[in-house]
Amino acid sequence: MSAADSTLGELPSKPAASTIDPHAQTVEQLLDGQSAWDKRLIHWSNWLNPILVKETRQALKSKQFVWTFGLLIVIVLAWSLLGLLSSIPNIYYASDGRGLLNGYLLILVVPAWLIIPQASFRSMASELDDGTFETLSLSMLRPRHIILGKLNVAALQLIIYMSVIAPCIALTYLLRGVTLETILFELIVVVITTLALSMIAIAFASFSRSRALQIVFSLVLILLQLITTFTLCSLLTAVAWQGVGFGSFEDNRASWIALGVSAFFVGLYMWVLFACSAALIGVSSANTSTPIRIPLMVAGWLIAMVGVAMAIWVDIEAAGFFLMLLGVHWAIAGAFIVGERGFISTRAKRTLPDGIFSRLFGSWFIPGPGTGYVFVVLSCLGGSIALMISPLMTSERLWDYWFAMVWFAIAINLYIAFYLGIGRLGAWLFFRRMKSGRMFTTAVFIVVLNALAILATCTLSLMSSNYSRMDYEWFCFPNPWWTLAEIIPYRYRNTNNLEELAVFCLGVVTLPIFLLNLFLSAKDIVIQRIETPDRVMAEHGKKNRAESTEQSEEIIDPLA
Amino acid sequence: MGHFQRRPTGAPCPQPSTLEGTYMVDAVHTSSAPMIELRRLHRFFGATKAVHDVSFEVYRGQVFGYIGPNGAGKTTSMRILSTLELPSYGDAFIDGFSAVNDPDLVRRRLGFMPDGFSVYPNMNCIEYLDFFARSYGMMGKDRIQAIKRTLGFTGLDKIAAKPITGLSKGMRQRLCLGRAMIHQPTVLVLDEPANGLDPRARIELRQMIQQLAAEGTTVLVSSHILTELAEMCDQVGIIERGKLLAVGSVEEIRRTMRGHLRVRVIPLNQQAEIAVWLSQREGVSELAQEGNAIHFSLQGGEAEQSQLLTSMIQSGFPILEFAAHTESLEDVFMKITTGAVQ
Ligand SMILES: Nc1ncnc2c1ncn2[C@@H]1O[C@H](COP(=O)(O)OP(=O)(O)O)[C@@H](O)[C@H]1O
Ligand SMILES: [Mg+2]
Repeated sequence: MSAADSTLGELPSKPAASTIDPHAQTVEQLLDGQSAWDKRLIHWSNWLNPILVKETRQALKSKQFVWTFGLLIVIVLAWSLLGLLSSIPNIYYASDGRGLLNGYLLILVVPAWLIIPQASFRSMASELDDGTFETLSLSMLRPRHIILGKLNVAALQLIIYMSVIAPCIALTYLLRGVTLETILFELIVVVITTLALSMIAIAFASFSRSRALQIVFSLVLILLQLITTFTLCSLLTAVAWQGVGFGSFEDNRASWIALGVSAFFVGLYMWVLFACSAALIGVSSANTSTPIRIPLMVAGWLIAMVGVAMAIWVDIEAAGFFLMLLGVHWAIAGAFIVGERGFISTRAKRTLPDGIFSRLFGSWFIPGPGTGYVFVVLSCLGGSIALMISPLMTSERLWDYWFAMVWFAIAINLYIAFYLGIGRLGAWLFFRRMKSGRMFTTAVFIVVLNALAILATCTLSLMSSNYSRMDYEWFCFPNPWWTLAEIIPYRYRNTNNLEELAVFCLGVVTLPIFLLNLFLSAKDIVIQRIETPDRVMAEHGKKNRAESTEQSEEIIDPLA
Repeated sequence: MGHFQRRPTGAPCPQPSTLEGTYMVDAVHTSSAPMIELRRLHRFFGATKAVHDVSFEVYRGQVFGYIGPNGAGKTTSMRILSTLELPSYGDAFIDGFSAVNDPDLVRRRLGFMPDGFSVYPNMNCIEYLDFFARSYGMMGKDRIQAIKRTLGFTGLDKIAAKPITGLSKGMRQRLCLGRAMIHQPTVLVLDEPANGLDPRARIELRQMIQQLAAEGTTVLVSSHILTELAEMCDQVGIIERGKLLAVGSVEEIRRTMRGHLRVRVIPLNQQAEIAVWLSQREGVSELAQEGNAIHFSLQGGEAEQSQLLTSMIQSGFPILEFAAHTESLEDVFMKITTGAVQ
């Protein structure tokens, strides 16, 4: 203080702020950054997700990150030395780059596929546990921003780990045996898998509303990570040693197509998971159902489209395979959708379709189990029809195969309509009062129903043959898997007409169930849209917060 | 939802069928609207009626004290107002915007300070505030300005670079308040901010709240101690077991209780006879005997007081001491609330 006094005494004209108030200076420095580099970083960070900025700052101070990072560098260096030393005598003509590359990739996979998703899970779970999520959701950040922020953090971590590996991988490229294409292929696999696992981890964390669920989900996540790591590590190894056109894929193009298609579907289901977790975290009266149905529908149609394309240009039997995928997609989605709560808040009513045209096509996006059921059944049917037509568009005319496929498609659709219809009715009867976990319970209910059907039909079949054989008989109709296995297109032999009978009986039983559900969904469809009040619209139109407060003061205080 | 069928006496309870939200009308009004409005707010947790038909309004620049014992439903109603929870029935409004239907617009205007403080590890005060400023969409100079203002207001600029985990309770409360007001909200909701603070920190907190109110911020502040808030509140609402028992200025509430005196009589002997005699008098209630002294509540003012004393002496009772005083705020609070918990 005395120093400041003396300065003031000597130089009275000097603006004294910096000397008098050293703390203000620190605050300013902390905020603006000290070096030019700091300043630029802080300037650029304006456009980044706040969660990314925050967690990066935290990570730079956390021991765990420093340790992982340091350890990675040490291991990479050790592996490089080992690899180079062991190949020194013949480094100029042996193609040892492949082994080195494989090693680097397997090292990278440990932080990328095992550590990063775990970090994402814990980060999201602790946010929800500690109540920090609530303080966050008070701000302008919506659940989707928060999830996106966590994904950004995972991506940034991956970039940092990859940048450690990058110079080494460049080194392997200088050695023989490694092409740029191989490196690119491998890195794309690593990146997509990391992001997908992180998204799954974040989604799992947002699904676990209780301690017990959190433990279950974290175990499932670890299992999933281990399985993925082991299977994909063998892929990475195969590609590293044999190039992109490895194994059964004779040319590189097939591998790239396979990678592209998988990446595409992984991305699609990441979108679905993203929508689900954004809907599940926090409490909200918003319409959370429609934003999930849209990616589900897109995914369903894309499955069908890819199937059609494959059937026309690659192999006609792809149609049957994609039909199965489509069925699985809608069966899983539908098992949850039919457990939705039927209640539509005022806020959700503002988003309902209005006008004849949008009501005609948009009504099935209205939240609720009834509309959801019809949405799933119709979407599945639409995709199936597209897939059924596709074999007709080829030059081959495999009529037998086509007829088999039609039966197969009808059976899949009927089973979905049947089981989901029963599930929706069951949820309506038994779980009507359930407020949380209703969708999950309904899904479990449908699975249990299905399991009971399988158990009963198998037992009956065994009993009818004195426990010697298991034959498909008429009482096996409720077992979807068995019936479908009987009429799966490539096995289809018109030996007896039991399968057709099964499909016919199923149709007779399913029709009333479908109609009953349709009737029940009528109450959701007639709900009228509520117009958003003008003042709310006007407020939402405003971007600038300062502007909005000014405006509201004007409105509130007419005397001012 | 069968357990909701048990209807309480008094205010009509909405029927279960309407509870699922057929109400929740869009109510956006434009002028002379209260900044905070709770309208027939209900929140049930199973059979617990955490908030049961609470309605009140707070106007611009006012400080509203929300007072009730633990478990009264203060936190629950404040969380609904802050869009962190949904009501079972009814709605809450900030500046005319519904917390249920337009939470985004409510959040722009509202700063909420919860009763607990959740920390992130590895962060200092300034980074913490910076993070929330970013979360409110503030960029560049705006953000720096906002952080400086907040640090200055809360007096945290001296410890801006300190890790949060090492802060004292008082400093944490300041940081929490700073976080809640970083986006300059027009409404501040503070849930038991004085809880666990030392007297000095309490006074400083009160000064901060009063300053904010003077600048036009509307404040809703809760406490389980009426006297703690009485000085700074323009209005108080007393809540117990989810029900709002009284609303008004402290004076108004005191006035509804006026006409009551607390009287203490110490006789030389004959306590039992005096007690019987008193219990037959009109206007005497809440009779209690405590050692030598007899306590009771007397309806009326000084005239009734002197009349009672005169007739006591005329009846020949040996009175040593006769003292009467108007009820204190604590008495008022004790009288309004029943002390029952759910
Ligand atoms: N999430 C919850 N689940 C069940 N009961 C709750 C929940 N939150 C609050 N309650 C109950 O609601 C009542 C009111 O609680 P609260 O609003 O926290 O009271 P206050 O803040 O006035 O002390 C209490 O009986 C409490 O047990
Ligand atoms: Mg509380």
